Amino acid sequence: MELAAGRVLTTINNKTATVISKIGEGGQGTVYNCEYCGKVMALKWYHKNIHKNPTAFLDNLKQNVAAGAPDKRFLWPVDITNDYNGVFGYIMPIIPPAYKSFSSFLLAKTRFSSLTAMIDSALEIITGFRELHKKGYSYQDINDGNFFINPDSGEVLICDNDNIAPYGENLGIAGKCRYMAPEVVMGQKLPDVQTDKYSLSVILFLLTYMNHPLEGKAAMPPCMTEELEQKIFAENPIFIFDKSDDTNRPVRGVHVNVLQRFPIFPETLREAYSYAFSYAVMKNEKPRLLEKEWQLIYRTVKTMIIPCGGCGFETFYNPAESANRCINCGTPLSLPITLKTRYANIPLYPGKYIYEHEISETGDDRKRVGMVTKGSKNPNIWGLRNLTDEGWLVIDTDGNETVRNNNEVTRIRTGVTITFPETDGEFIDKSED
Amino acid sequence: MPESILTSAPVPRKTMVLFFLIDTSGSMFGTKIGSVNNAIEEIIPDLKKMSEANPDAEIKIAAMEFSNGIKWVTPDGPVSADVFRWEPIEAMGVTDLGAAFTELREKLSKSAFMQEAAGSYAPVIFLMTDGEPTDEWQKPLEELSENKWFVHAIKVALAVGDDANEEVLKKFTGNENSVVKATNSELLKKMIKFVSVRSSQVASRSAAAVADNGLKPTKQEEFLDELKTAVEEMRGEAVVSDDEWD
Ligand SMILES: Nc1ncnc2c1ncn2[C@@H]1O[C@H](COP(=O)(O)OP(=O)(O)OP(=O)(O)O)[C@@H](O)[C@H]1O
Ligand SMILES: [Zn+2]
Repeated sequence: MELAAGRVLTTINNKTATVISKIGEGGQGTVYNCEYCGKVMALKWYHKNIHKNPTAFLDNLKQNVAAGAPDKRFLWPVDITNDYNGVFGYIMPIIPPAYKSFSSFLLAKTRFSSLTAMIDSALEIITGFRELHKKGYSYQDINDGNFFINPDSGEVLICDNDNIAPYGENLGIAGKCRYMAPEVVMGQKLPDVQTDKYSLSVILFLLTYMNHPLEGKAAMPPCMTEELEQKIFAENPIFIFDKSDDTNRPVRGVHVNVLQRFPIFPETLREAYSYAFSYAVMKNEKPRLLEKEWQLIYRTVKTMIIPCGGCGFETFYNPAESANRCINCGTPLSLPITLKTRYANIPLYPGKYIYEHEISETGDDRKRVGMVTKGSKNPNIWGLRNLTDEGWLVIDTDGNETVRNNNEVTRIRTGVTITFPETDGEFIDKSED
Repeated sequence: MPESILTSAPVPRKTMVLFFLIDTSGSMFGTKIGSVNNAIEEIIPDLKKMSEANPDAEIKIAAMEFSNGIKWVTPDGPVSADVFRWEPIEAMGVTDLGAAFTELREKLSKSAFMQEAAGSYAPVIFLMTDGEPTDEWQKPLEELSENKWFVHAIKVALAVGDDANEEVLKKFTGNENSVVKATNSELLKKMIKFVSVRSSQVASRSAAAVADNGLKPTKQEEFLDELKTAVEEMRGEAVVSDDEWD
């Protein structure tokens, strides 16, 4: 049943939603703009008879509405309409136009404006799921249709939150096979927190390399059937860069993005994915990577981002490696100095921000705590500006101590140490290690 | 000028071909063929939208008309929903269903219509007819039934009016739930829309977990269940229209 503009629906919380216009159709329902409590919101209106167990589905949705969003990134249901001849829907916040569907990134219709935005979006997705799981929910049906991403800021919104259920419960949905944990595809297990972790790794891989981790030459039968999908994605899953099995390598001319990116993106990522998609991990015989581990991996990679002096685009720079080259233009890269803390080894250049996670275990990866400046008279003299409200104790090579408060600058020199609240940092000359 | 690494190609995606096999015999003349034309024309934008936004599958359309022999509306192979345009077709002649089966079998091949670099999903084959086959169809159907694309395809047949031979259609789909009947243009349009749009989503939809019998249903089975319920509902709410075809 289509809803006409102007149609007024009442909700279980005794509010009204007035339909404005149709936004789009999905597999399970149609999404409309509506006016709700004086605001424009989105209404997901289910197709009739779409739920296997409508009572359980509705009860769960009601509980979720009552509990509220686990994290700001979730476009959480805020109210549910009453039943209209067996049809109902739920109301959620609208996706602002600056956010584009993950699908449109995969189809190359939208591009990240910087490497930082891309890595930040991975971190946003990881953090969102970490929060969700912390609150005791599992998502169950993670797939490419669930994410909306701002290509400039990397901020992420997660939608389709109607199948989210508390730990141990399942609403009868298994998911899309390309994103599902093998044991779920095989029907051996219902989706839960553990299987969410597998789906998360698939999403992160796709986001990073623009290719599915299991889609290489062995995943290209002329006619893909449900049985073959089961084989490729569940019975015998083989990572396209599996270290001991090369039967599913990417194909030149088809899997172009991953062939280009995988070898030149940081080793940290290659190692993480080689583990995450090793046969034993996929088959759930070895533990899957935790959100916390993914967070560390992508935070490490975020720290490696620097602008290339040759082309101006952002690239990765690993101070531990001797020969770094720009991933865009191939120019050899070298940076003179890093700031080494317990949590990161940060390559420094003028304009670089230091983030909280680089000086604190529980730090945020978007919060800026410092910035590298360059001298107004002598641009070869660099400094580190304190952007926090706490003072930093600075000890120079002669043992002299000074405190740098908010907005004050410390001169960057080899051997100088800074006592941050949780860790010490030291400026290290790259040519010395 | 070097390019940013972020200037990438789209992810490789598989193709899902939606085949329309349309009876254009003389008995389809008038409101029947008119409604078919209208219904297909109107679902193209929906298919286009679905295809454009779907990184799992690109939707392509192939259409064949059969009457005195057959004719492809898309002679060069399946056309992407993004660029497909429906030109109205005319009805005249007999019902050479056997010829249609033979032709379909030939085109369901990697060396004919199914040659996609990244591969294809099992296609959807949607047959619409209003009468009895006028040629030999049993042998061609037997041969078609050995084609692996056909075996794996989602097959739906639409009987237009009361005179279609539903037994033949059941043999074609291999399942009585996938034979539906429209007795007026309102129902016809609704059914064409439902079948075309929802079957094209099967390849990339989320599957259900476990059915009541403890087995995991296939997505095709789920689709057929939904089709059955939807058809019952359409019949329930169908307005009595002035062009009842009986
Ligand atoms: N909160 C929202 N605000 C704005 N647009 C939305 C919102 N939620 C969904 N949409 C849009 O509505 C359309 C349909 O969304 P929907 O989530 O139903 O599709 P889907 O991913 O196929 O879902 P499903 O298969 O779960 O039904 C999409 O184009 C989507 O971009
Ligand atoms: Zn460069």
